[in-house]
Amino acid sequence: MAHADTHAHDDHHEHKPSGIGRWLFATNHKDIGTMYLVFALGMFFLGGAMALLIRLELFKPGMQYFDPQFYNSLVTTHALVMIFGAVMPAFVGLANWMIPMQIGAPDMALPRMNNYSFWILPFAFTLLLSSFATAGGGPAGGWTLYPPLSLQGGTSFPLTIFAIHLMGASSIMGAINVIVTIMNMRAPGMTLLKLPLFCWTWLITAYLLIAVMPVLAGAVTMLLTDHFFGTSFFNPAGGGDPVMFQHIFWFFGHPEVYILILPAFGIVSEIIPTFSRKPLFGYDAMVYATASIAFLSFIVWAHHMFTVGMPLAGQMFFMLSTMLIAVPTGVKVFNWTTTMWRGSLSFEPPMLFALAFLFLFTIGGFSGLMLAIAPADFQYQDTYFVVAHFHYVLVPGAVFAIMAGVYFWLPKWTGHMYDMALAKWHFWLSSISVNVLFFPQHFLGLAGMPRRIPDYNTQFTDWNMVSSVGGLVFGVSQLLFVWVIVKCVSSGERATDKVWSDAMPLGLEWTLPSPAPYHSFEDAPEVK
Amino acid sequence: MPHNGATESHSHVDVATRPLRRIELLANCSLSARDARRLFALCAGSALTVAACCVANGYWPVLPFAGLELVLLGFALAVSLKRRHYVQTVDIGETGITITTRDSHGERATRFSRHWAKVTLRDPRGWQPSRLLIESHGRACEIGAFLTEERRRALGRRLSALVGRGSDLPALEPAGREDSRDCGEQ
Amino acid sequence: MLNRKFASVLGGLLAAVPAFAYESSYNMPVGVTPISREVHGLHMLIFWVCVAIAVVVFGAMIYSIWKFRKSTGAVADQTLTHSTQVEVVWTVIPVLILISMAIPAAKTLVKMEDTRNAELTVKVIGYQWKWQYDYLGKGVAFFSTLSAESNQARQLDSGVDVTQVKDYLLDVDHPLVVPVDTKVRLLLTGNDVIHSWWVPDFAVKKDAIPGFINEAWFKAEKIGRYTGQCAELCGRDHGFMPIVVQVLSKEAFATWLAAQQEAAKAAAAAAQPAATTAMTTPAPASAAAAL
Repeated sequence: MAHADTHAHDDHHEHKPSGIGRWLFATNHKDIGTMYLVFALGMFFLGGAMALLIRLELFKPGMQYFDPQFYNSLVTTHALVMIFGAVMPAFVGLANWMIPMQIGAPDMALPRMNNYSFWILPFAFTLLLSSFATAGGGPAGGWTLYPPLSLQGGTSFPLTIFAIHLMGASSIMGAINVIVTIMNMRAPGMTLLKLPLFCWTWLITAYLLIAVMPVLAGAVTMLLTDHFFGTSFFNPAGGGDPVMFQHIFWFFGHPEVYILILPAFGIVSEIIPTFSRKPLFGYDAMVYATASIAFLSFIVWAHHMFTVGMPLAGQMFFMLSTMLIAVPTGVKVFNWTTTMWRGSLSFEPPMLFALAFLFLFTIGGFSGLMLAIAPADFQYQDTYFVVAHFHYVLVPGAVFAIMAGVYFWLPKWTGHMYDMALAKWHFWLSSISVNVLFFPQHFLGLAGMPRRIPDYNTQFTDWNMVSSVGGLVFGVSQLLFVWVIVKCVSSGERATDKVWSDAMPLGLEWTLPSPAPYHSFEDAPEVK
Repeated sequence: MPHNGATESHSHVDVATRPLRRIELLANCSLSARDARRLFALCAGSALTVAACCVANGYWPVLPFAGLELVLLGFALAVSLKRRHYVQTVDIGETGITITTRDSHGERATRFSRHWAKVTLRDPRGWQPSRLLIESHGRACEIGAFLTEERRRALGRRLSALVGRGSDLPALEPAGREDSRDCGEQ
Repeated sequence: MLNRKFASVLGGLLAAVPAFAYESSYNMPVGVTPISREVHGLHMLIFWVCVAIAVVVFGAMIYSIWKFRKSTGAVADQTLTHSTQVEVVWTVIPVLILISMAIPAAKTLVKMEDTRNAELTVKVIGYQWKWQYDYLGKGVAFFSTLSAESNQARQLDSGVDVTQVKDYLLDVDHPLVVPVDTKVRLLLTGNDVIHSWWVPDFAVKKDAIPGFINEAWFKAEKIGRYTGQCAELCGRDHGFMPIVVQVLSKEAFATWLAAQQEAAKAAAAAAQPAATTAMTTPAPASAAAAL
């Protein structure tokens, strides 16, 4: 490629701002992407540490370490940190890095807003976590903030609400940036139906965020006014309707669930074809399936609340609409499988993680299908079965996809190959321990263990012990991930432009030199 | 059809009157104004429908947030769409440099003597982005304000090479390797 | 014919599953009410449907991973990128499976919601962190809190070996007492925050929400002691407000109820000077004795 090698000699007299200012005032999509990813990794470990404390208390029956209130705040902040601090920023980081490269744009559409949307996050999480230092401890009403319980919170309550506002603002700015970038900054010839699936899934994710974020912001604001200004939107003491909060929250919450998984679909849709050396099977179907999932996400919210006592017709409707989601999701899984069919597969770390995603996300899909059956849901609701379900779709689902993406693109970012052997160790340890961690939770839930309890009857001891051991191994093996990344940043064999030259990378990002020059695509590349 | 990047054209005839080198700066802009309106309508339709349902049930605080968000989206789209009007042409002749800037306000041309012109890249200061200027005799003309930092720097390097400093006028023929990349794939 | 063959295959599969998969710490209890049995049946049905799909899908994945390894010289077939036929098939088949699942589920759902013709109505009120049971029209009402033994053992650094505590965290001072083979209707509400009343053996889980009254029902067909827990995070001691239901024979229940009414009257008479709405009755110790 002509423009690929002519850039090489520009590298040494590249002028970058240096020092802390480079990061504080960063407007470069790669700097911001890096900050997002590092932040997400930090939050992943923080949230993970909270999870390990939870598993520690649950290792055996009896209260050993924590006050139940502190345990509840661990549960609450673990969720908020992992959702808004780890998974979403990681996806935004990947979007920042990869979307401009994949569509042939010089940067994101609004670099300054990109900077704001990142720097809001540290403030948001400082607010959230500082509540642990206040009298009454951290937020303990669950991440869903159901009133009236959440209204009982002390100082932590307004801090949490403000933190959620900031997280929402950050997400919205990120989403607007992604939508405008993908729509307006594409290189000539890059039509919508040529977009890489990672861009497509992010485009749909950004749309979902724009559609539902005001609902979250409005809902938490109403909680705030209920608490401090005497309104009664949700407070039953003043005639408010706490069930409406659940409806409103889950109207945001269910699309949010897909916001957490759609970009993962995109990443996997890039990796599986590459290492199968075969184009993605049914590209159009994949796009339509993603769009249908997004559409359905607006009409299934109340399946989170079958037990609140909805009218029969409502329960029927939400049961059926929820079951329908299995159809487009199934199409995706079948398409990925068929992409591998008659391919030529090799098993580098990104592919390994993508395959683990494929198997384990499908297991999460099965438990999701079971949860959709409303009469059975009465037995599953708010038990460890639900915990197992959403951890299967979020950990070996979203998180594994993020890891697959990092292993896929890391050589592109750093210009170095990473330690394959170490990465494979990371893979095997993670994918085995994640099952030891979460699979027994299905049994616990079915046998009758409710979620969010700090202590349990002795009949649940065995599986809790197994789960805790799995959690410890999973947590520790993530240190390998950090080690692989640090090693790769500082040293390692030089990566070629087409990092996986042996495989078949299709996207535009692979035509850039590695590491990507400080500016991508001086010349707009033609999409053939 | 909108296209992007910098394009250059060469002229080998009529050296005295025609510019020898032209750099045309265009921004990536794949969205037409009408498509942008449609996109906005789609997002606004979704967000406002949801907000309207909330308001109908008495949960009005959702509405201002939806409004705020849509203002931000509209602003972002408008800012991004401005790119489509922006064309900047730098004509470098044997003796003079003409910079023609066309944007939504119209067209302006600034001329410099190539002998005295100087290319300056002012480093970013705080929240201010860097500025690429061609200066001479106290006059200055900014180039590529709509480019990202990186592209502006690359352009600055290229212009420096083409314009030269003081009396050190680089020859414009034959085209160097750096120039060939811009013509290579056009 | 085909149906019988299918049934026998499915039966074989079911038999292959060790017996512990059914009443154990691995699986949902079958329970003791007609509804709970139906729910368990639905659960097992959807489970086996998932297993069947998993066998096909995971089979195809594992086969592809094994068969089309590059290391064995597999060459990618670049033409296999689209097939409308296949895509229609794998959209339609799941829809059919889902419809066949939805029908029995909907039937059960209708039955669960049918609270008519109840023979006994109990109002259940969730408090932070205990339950109150009010036998409507019977003049009996009492609180049900975690048993003292469990409560002592669950304190931080209590030094008690919880494995030695009987029914640790699943024992209360005054259980809900109901007669066997009787349709019992529950009216649920919350006093402070949202709680959720759940007894797995009855397949009843319903939120107790302040300002709302929810309905649920069960008809226990087996005498015994059944336990459950609050299933909605309700604050600090959410994990420590269990539910115990004592199902007695109809005669034993009548005796118990009479004793309670007697005690309630006595208590009301004693509390007359105080003239407050004393809802709590003295410990219905006879509940345990009746067993």
